[in-house]
Amino acid sequence: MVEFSITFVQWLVVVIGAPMLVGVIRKTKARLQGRRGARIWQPYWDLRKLLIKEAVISENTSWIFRFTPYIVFGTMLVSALIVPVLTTAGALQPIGNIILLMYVFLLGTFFLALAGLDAGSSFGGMGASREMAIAALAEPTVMIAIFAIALRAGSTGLREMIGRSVSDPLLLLNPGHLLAFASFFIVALAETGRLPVDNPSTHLELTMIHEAMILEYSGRYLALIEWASAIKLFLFLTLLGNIFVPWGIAVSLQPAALAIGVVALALKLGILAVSLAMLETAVAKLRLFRVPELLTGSFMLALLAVISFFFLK
Amino acid sequence: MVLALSIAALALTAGLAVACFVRAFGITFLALPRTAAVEQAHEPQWTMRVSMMVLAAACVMLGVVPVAVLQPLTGVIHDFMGARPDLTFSIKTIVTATDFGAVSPLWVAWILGPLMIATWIGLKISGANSGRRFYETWGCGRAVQTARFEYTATAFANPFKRVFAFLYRPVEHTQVEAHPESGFFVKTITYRSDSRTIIEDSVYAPIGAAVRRISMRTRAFQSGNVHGYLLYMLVALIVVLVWAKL
Repeated sequence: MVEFSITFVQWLVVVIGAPMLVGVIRKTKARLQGRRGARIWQPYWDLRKLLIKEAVISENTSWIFRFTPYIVFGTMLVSALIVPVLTTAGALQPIGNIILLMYVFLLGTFFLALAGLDAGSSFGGMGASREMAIAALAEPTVMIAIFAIALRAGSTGLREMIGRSVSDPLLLLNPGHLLAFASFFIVALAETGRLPVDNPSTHLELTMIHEAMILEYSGRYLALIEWASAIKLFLFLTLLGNIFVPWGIAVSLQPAALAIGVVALALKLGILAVSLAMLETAVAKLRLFRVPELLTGSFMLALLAVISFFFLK
Repeated sequence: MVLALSIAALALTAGLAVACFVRAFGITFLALPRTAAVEQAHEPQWTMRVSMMVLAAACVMLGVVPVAVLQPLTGVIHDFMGARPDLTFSIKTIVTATDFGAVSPLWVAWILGPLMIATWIGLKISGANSGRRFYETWGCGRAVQTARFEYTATAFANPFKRVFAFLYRPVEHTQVEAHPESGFFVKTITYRSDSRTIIEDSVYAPIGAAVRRISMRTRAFQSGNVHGYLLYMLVALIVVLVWAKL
C-alpha cells in the first residue's frame, strides 16, 4: 500500500512539476540572453489560459486529430509511472523496462505525426515528415546507448540499471559510462525537440519540426500536447540524472531516504535544466540534413561505450 | 559487437516502419481528397469492413498480448533448432533469461486506456472549455485550401531519400519556365526526381534479367506445333528408358 502511495506521489511530482521545469529553462535562457524573462510558473498560467479557451479545429480533420492529444498525454502519464523519479522502489515500475518506455514515447510521436498530416496543411506535413525522419534515425542510437548501460547493469530494467549505478560509485569515472551518457544526452535533445535539433521557441514555420506538427492545435488540445511535451522533457532529464548520476535516489521507502530523494531530484534537474539552457543559448540550430550527422556521432559514442564494456570491466 | 549492430539495425527498422505507416496511412486516408474519384469514395458495407477489423484487432493483440504468438512460435523454434528460447512468459509479462528484460504490455495497455479516459473526464470536471469550433486550416495568408497544398508521399519521404542518398542516388531535375518579361513571374515549374536503389539494381534486376534471358532461349522450344511436342515426348520417353536401364 505504501508502495502504491509513493508511486502516486512520484507520478504527481512528474505531472505537476513538468511545466515548472520548462519555466526554469525558459527563465535561465532569458537571463543568459540579457532578458528578464517570465516567472518560472508562467507555463502553468499558459496551460490554464489554453484550457479555458475554445478549441478551433480544422474542417478537414478526422477523429484522429481530436484523439491524438489524449493518447499523447496518456502515453506520457503511463511513462511517468514507469520511470523511477524519487525512489526505485515504486510499485508499478516492473511493468516495463527502458525499451518499452522508448516505444511508449514513439507511440505518442506516431499519433502526433498522423495528426500533423490530418489538417492537410503543408506545415503539418513538413513537421510530420521531419519528425518521423529524426525519430527513425534516433532509434538505433537510443537502443545502442541503452544497450551500453544495460550490459553493465545486466538488465534493461530501470530499477536494476539505477541500482547498478548506486552500488558502484566509481562507475562515474568509467569512460564507457561517460560515453553512454554523452550519447544518451544527444538522443534526449533529439527526442524532446531541443536545440540544436529543433527549436522549441521558434515561430518561423520553415524551421519548425515539433511545433509545425502541432500548428493546428488550440485550446485544451494544445494544452494537453504542451503539457505532454513538458512531461517528456522532465522524464528524459530524470532518466539522465538518475541512471548516470544516481546520487540521492531512494532505494528504500524510508521517509528520510525519500526526503533526500526529493532534494537530490530537484538539484539534478536544476543542474540539467541550467546546462540545457546554456547549451541552447550557445549553439545554433543545425540544418535539418546535418542532424543525421549529429545522430551518427551520438551513435558512434554509444557504440564505443558498448565496445569499452568488453575491454574495461 | 555484432549483437550491438544487429540491435541497432532492428531499431532502425522499427523506426523506419513507423515512418512508413505514418506515410502510408496519413497520405492515403487523411486530409483533403486529392482526386475526384477519392472525393466520391464511401464506406463499403459492414461485411467488407469486418474482415479488416479482424486483422486490425489481431495487430493490436500482437502488441498487447504477444503471448498468443510467442507460445506457438517457441514450439516451432523448438522443432527446428531443438532448443527453446530463454524466455518465460505468461499472459501478463515476458521475461528473458537472467532478467535482462521484463515487460508487461498488457499492463501498459490496461493503464493507458483508463488514464486517457481519466484525462477526458478530468478536463470535463475541471471546468476546461469544452467548446469547439470548426474553421479552415491555417494557411499562412492564402485564401483557399486545396489538396495541392498537402504533403505528398514523395515529399514525406524526401528527408529519408536525402539522408540515405548513398543508397538511393537521387537525381533531381527542376525546370522553371518564367514569364519572358520578368523572371519573378513563374509560369510553370516541372520537377522530376528519380532515385535508384542499390539492392534493387544489384540483386533483383540481374536476377530478373537472367530469368528473362533464359526464358527467351527456351521460347525456341515452344513452337506451338503439335508434331514438335510429339517429338519431345518421344525423346523424353527414350531418355527416361535409357536412364532406367543404366
